[in-house]
Amino acid sequence: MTKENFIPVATLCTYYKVEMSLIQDLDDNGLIKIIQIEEAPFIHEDLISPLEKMLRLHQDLNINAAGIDTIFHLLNRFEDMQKEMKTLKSRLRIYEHE
Amino acid sequence: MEFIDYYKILGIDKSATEADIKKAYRKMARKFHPDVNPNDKQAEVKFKEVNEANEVLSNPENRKKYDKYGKDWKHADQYDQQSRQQNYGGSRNQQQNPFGQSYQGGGNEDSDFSDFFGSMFGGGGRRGNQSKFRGQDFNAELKLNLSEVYKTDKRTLTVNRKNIRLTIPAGVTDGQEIKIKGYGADGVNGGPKGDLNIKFNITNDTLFVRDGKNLYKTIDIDLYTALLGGDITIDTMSGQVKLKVAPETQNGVKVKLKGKGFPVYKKDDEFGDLYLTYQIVLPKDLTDQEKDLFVQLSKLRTS
Repeated sequence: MTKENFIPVATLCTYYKVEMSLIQDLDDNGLIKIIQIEEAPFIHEDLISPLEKMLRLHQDLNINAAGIDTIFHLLNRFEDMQKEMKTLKSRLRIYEHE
Repeated sequence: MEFIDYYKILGIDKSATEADIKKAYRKMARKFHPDVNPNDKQAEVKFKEVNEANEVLSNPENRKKYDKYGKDWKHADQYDQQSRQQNYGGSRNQQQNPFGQSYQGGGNEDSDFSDFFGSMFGGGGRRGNQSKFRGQDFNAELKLNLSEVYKTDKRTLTVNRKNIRLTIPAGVTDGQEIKIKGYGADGVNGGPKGDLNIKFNITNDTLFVRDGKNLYKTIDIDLYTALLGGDITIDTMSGQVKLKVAPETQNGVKVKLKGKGFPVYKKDDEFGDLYLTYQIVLPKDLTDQEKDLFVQLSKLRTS
């Protein structure tokens, strides 16, 4: 596996000022995926955006990895429901026009 | 610029201890944090207010200044001058700014803070402890008419002086978002670029109601066509269509025109259906002769 599109976890820890243990904790909870390249931990750059969100929740609100997992789960449900509500609203317009 | 009651924002009173402030801030931050309130602009504003309140009240020096001048911040320079005159024996023409060293020039540079905060405490603050690495995402909204997304369209957008050629596939829905990878801000220190998120805001400029791939429309037909049958011409998204109305068509009957609905997103040549609801329009302002004929008709039915 090549390093292209992968960011070393050590670099992320420096820039986001977080402990390696937190990143590991997020990986243990299945929130991100750490891969080993040449025996060093890396994260794919596509995961940086959700990782930033997790770190904001951790740093701004003191939420640990398990809490973040729960929040993400609820947010997904919430977003699904918002979409469903939008669909139902547009369907309702059909009857309002009759 | 209005006075902002930071105590009220955090739901505490003036006698609150540092611990009370911290507790109230934490509670409010959890409630209004933008990451737990997606697509909620009100929560975002509230979160900024809560942060601003905490920025002032959690810092003893800022809190003291706010408590002293708070509501009378507009007259604070007068107070300050008065106190200077008392203390220093009337030195005039000193700095006009009541908050001296903390003033950093306008305060409007950081849009996270209100003008009120800016004028009292200056621009910056110690917020934003998270360093940047990945470039920021750009969010853009593209307003289109429903008739414009009936066909696949190519557009060139200019985002931050960069031209982006964008193909808008037919059938995109209102509120749908597309992500264009790497078209956001540059990363810092070798971090990846952000993305460009484009949200479609589609206004219905047609007479159809859209529900996904299907379209709906109510069609008026006159009493005689409904009773005796006949031909009508209706407008669809792809042009006019001639329809045969069956004799004795009832009010509210629905007719499905297969394939005359909206294109299905990213599926070539696949279309939804158009549902028409017939609404029978009864004649008005009947002449005497018409009334006589209707009387005759009604007698035929009742006899």
